[in-house]
Amino acid sequence: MREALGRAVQAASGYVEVRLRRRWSTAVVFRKQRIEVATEYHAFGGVARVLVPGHGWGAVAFADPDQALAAVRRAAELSAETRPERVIALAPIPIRQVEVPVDLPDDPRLVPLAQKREVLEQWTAELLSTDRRVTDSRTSYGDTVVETWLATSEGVWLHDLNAETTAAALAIASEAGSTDRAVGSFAARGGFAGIHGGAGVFADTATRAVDRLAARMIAPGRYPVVLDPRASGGLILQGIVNLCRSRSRGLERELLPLGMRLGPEFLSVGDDPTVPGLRTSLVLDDEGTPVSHQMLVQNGVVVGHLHTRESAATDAATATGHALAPTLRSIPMARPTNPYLVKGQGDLAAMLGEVSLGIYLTELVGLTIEGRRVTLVPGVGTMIRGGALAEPVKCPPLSVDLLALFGRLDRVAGDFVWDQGATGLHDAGPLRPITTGAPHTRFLDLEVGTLQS
Amino acid sequence: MIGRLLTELGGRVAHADVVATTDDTITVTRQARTAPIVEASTGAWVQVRVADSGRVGWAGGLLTDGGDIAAAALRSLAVSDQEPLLMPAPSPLPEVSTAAREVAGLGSDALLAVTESLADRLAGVGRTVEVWAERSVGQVEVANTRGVAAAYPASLVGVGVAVRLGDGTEAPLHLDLVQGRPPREDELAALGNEVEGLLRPPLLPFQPFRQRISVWFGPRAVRSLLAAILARHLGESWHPPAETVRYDERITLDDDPHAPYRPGSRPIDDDGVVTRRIRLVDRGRPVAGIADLRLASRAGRPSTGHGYRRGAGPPRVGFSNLELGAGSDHQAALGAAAGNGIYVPTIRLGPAANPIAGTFRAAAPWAYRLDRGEVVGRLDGCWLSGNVFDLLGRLVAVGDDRRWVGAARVPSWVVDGVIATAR
Repeated sequence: MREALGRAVQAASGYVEVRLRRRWSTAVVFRKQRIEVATEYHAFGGVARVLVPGHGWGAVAFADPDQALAAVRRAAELSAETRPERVIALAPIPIRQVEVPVDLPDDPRLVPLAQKREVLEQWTAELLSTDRRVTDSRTSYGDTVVETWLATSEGVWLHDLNAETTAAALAIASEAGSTDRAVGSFAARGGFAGIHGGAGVFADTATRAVDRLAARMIAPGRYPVVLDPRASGGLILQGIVNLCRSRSRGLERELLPLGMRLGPEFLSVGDDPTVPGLRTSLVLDDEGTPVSHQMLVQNGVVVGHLHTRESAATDAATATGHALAPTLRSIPMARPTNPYLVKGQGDLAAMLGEVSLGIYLTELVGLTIEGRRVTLVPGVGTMIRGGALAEPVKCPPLSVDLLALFGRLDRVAGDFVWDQGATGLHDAGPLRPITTGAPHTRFLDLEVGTLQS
Repeated sequence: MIGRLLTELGGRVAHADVVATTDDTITVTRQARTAPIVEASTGAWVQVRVADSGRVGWAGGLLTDGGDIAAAALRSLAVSDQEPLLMPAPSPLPEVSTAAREVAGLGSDALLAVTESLADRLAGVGRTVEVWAERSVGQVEVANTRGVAAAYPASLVGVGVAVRLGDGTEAPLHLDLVQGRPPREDELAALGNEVEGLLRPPLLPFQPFRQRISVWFGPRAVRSLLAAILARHLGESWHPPAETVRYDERITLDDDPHAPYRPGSRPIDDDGVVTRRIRLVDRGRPVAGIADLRLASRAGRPSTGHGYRRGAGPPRVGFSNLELGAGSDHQAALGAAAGNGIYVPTIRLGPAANPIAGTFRAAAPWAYRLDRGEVVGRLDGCWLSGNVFDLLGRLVAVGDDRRWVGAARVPSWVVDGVIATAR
């Protein structure tokens, strides 16, 4: 393969990059105790990308490794057809050759489908037997093995193999005409045995769905709001990191400018693709740039962006190693890997103890950004009364201006954890896994429910 | 290729079916701060399903891996539960225009010219403009061991514009044109005019307000509102409604896979079921839902021909092309009905915990204040909220301006009592 790709990247002038990726996957899905999906599939995707000097990008996606050479030639033709308004440059990078051993202990491809079904069937039974009020469920198991080959005309070479397993549950509880739901997920890097870390997700999800049945709609008003680490991580991902990705395509996002004050001194956010053991950690990105830990917000001020080589050159910055392709056959764009919120001090008890009346949110069903307007859709809420958690509540969407939101960030706790759930990036196109890390956070004086009343 | 797969599988299982698709796509993207990108992709995919002894298994992937995929489908069968599935027998296919020959001739040069022309036209001080154009041609082939063997070509052309104003703190304006044949000059000009028309009105000084108000939803916005209605007609969500479920009697909604050159046009679905036009809502009364072969078999009724099984993706139920009945209200009548309300040409509904409930809250960054039905300026920070099903009881006008928005043909609606907020 290395020889073939070596020939391909020399087949055109200018910058040439060829990435091949083969993916083996398994999916098992149950609706209650009835199996909906039990299948395996494998896919292959190749992308050749060429930047002919003085022109724009040409890219060709293909589905057969033998087409790499022809794809490079075609991509060069497409590049030559473009007439950019300015000269396109790529930020320089250190050239690395990385060959990761492709022996995979406990390879999920070698585990029979029936065994995977058995695991999920057992967990599904546990979920459904948690409480008589659990009336419906959808549960899933998945595993993926991805082998990547990357070569560039500058001499970059990457060959690696990664595997991950995932499990997810949706539980629906009903009683006396009231219905509620909860979701949970788990993901682990490595072989099949890793999935057993997700066993607790299923019964926990069922319990949360049942607990929500008793929830009443919260009285509209302004409250302090405490977010658990998962919700805090989701908010940081969508509300900050997503707005610090340099633009590759699409006008969905406008970058938060460097130097902008976003929040208080204790707000610091970064993205670290080098964290050992996380399923989304990397060595080289999809342009072959060695990945690097990047601070995005330091002491409340925007200090960095996630870059591709092109965006780094445009902004006279350094390529950060965050050029990642969301699908097998797409071109790289700046994307986060392991975004996190730097921990502060104290724990949840200390944070709650200072709140006489507030809300504790442990799940975000959705989070969107329109311009600078953030909308959080809570899944589960609990009232905080007299410094302690009290009754469950239903909480309508919270809609807040981005700067107003982080301006009301009052505390960041010290109980930092990496989220083992399966988080994605809400963006056009397919989701790419991301691991978020955060401690509990507390926001003061957020308007809750008044837009609906 | 798929004939050989079926022959091999036919000797091992009671029934099998195969869907094979090919695709050849060129995409051009132009934007302000990055290099133009021309992308080309080709591919061929297959999905194989096998049924035996009351069990069903499936797998999908690249067509060149057909043998491995068939083996994976058999392994899937071995671990599946008992499930009825009766594959269809051959039937005559209706004539449907699914592809225009000219699309294959659209090269990257033609798409670049379209994007350059639109980008140049829309460029202006304080505007960030992105334009994309894409063309796709391919073929869909469906066959099963009961004798179904059908193939049809498919083509699609899309042109889209996104414009962001000022410092970028507002959401961009997105408009596009997607259809099965190349857009004519007048259609491209209309897209440019539509964008210009929405950018032209001045931004009004911000004034907080909260009121129930009449809103004139343009066809693109009506398409977004339809999502909640459609969720009730989709697959297992469809239950014959109680007599009390009624929308405004001016609402009639059809699913039409036979509309020529639209994104959802096809003579046969991916289960091998011949497609037909279906009335979903008849003069305000929900009358039918859609199902694929699997869901229909479970429910003991015929499939409606709405199965999609593409490559490695799981089988799903989906609508084809939607046609919402036109009204008789022309532009002046729509303006009169909206009065001093708000005009919303396009909207993206925000996240909803349960779309079937119909509740929505959405930012409307492209909403316009009306004065006796005439646009006087764009509103700053406008949000709309309510329940789609409640709104359907407060319809005060239905436009005669029905037009295609992708795979849906929809008119304007004027609705009373929408909660509009700016704060």
